[in-house]
Amino acid sequence: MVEAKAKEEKGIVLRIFEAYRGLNQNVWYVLFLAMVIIPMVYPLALPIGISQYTRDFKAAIDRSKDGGRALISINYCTGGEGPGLPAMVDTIKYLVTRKQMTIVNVGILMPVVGQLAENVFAKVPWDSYGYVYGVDYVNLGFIIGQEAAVAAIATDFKTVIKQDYRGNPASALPILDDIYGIDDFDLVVEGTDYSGQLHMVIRQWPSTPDRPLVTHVFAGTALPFYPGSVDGFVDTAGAGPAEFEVLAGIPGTAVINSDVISLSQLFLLIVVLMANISYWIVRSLGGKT
Amino acid sequence: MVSLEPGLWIAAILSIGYLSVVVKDNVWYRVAVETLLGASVGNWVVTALLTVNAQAITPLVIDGQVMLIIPILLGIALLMAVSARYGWVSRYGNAWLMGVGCGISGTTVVKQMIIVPIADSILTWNVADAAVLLGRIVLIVSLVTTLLYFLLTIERKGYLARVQQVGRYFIMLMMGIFLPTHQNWNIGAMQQMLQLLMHQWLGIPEPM
Repeated sequence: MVEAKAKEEKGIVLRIFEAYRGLNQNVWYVLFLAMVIIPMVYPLALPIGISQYTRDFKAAIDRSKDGGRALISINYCTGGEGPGLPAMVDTIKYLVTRKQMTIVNVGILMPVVGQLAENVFAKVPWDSYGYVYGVDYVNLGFIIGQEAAVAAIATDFKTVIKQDYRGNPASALPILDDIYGIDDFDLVVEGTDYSGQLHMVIRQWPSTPDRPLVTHVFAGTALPFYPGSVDGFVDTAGAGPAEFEVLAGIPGTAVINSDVISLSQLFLLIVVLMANISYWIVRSLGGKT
Repeated sequence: MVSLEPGLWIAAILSIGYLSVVVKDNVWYRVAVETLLGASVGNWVVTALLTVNAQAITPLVIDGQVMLIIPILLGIALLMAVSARYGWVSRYGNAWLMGVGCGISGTTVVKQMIIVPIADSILTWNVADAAVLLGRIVLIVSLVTTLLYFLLTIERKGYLARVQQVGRYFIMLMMGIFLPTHQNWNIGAMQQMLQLLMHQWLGIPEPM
């Protein structure tokens, strides 16, 4: 009697876990989508620990010259805009409000970076800072030519830069008047999701004591060059942008993005664990694996 | 309020098509993907043509900078790759690109990508900070054991095999770190798409 009951209970457990393992994969995709959407609608405000990379990122910016000129290079692709955009918006806000720096953006990855830079600029309240386009900030769009172009920007800026992304000739942009090369900048900020672009920037626009080089990038890409060739970085594959928001005291959307990553990764972790547990349970009860 | 901007509607329709793959592979999804690829390639081609025009053809024709004939000819040589008969001409353009690339990056690669990172990460020891010190030790152990793992000319046995096994663990650890990194990147891309749909298209206010 007891044996039969135990066998029946085992059968129930087996059926439950076999049904679990047999769930259509699209169910998991939809659940995953829900895990991404929920924190976007209802921010969870999960705690954020600030890494040394982000502290060094801010310290390097703080070390650069007040009222100087920052060379921004937005080099993430459309898919990288999720973490890349809030990180760049926050950084520019910090450079403008705390360092009173002028901003020159030039992209080197692919044509779309010019538009992605416009997306970033559209999120910065320039007017409230008293900044004027062409005088205090400019988007030069994408410069084709990979490393040859990056090197040329460093040494022969005026030959390479003929106009900005919006079609204004360089001669009509006062901000460019006294820029001849990389030595005319006081800070380099590169945002990318490709290692190649960071390597080019490290080689052609290197960090110097007077011109820190900081980046928004995956930690795995930056770590081989940090500290040393890269003075600090925001890990765009982790909570880096949110960390900078908290550290710099600049309210933005990166904290919400961090909630999205935390919740969705937690979901993935639970799914992987459950997959393993169900596998072993089904196998130990003699079911089909 | 739902946006009335036509561009946003196109973006929204394509984004929903892209996300529809979570339910099932379908024509809408494929149209969205192919449109993205086509638009990217078109954007590249137009940008390349405008750049060639602004930096080579206009200065040559209008300003008379005849030396620009050389890069224009090298560029045309690259295009010959599509010809079965004259494909060999493209080698000259490629050789020039390789040479310039090596020359530009070669002069800085040793200093910026080898000497400076090694000097700042391995040779700088801060014995007062236990965490930094431990990090340096782990860095050197991982570097040596990982390099030894790829030492393929000596048979794997004895102490060497054990050291190589340690290197293998470090490689596995690094690959384990890369997996969630790329997951996060994909989540970020999806989130960007959802933000477009929710906040820009449907007009749902962004929470702060």
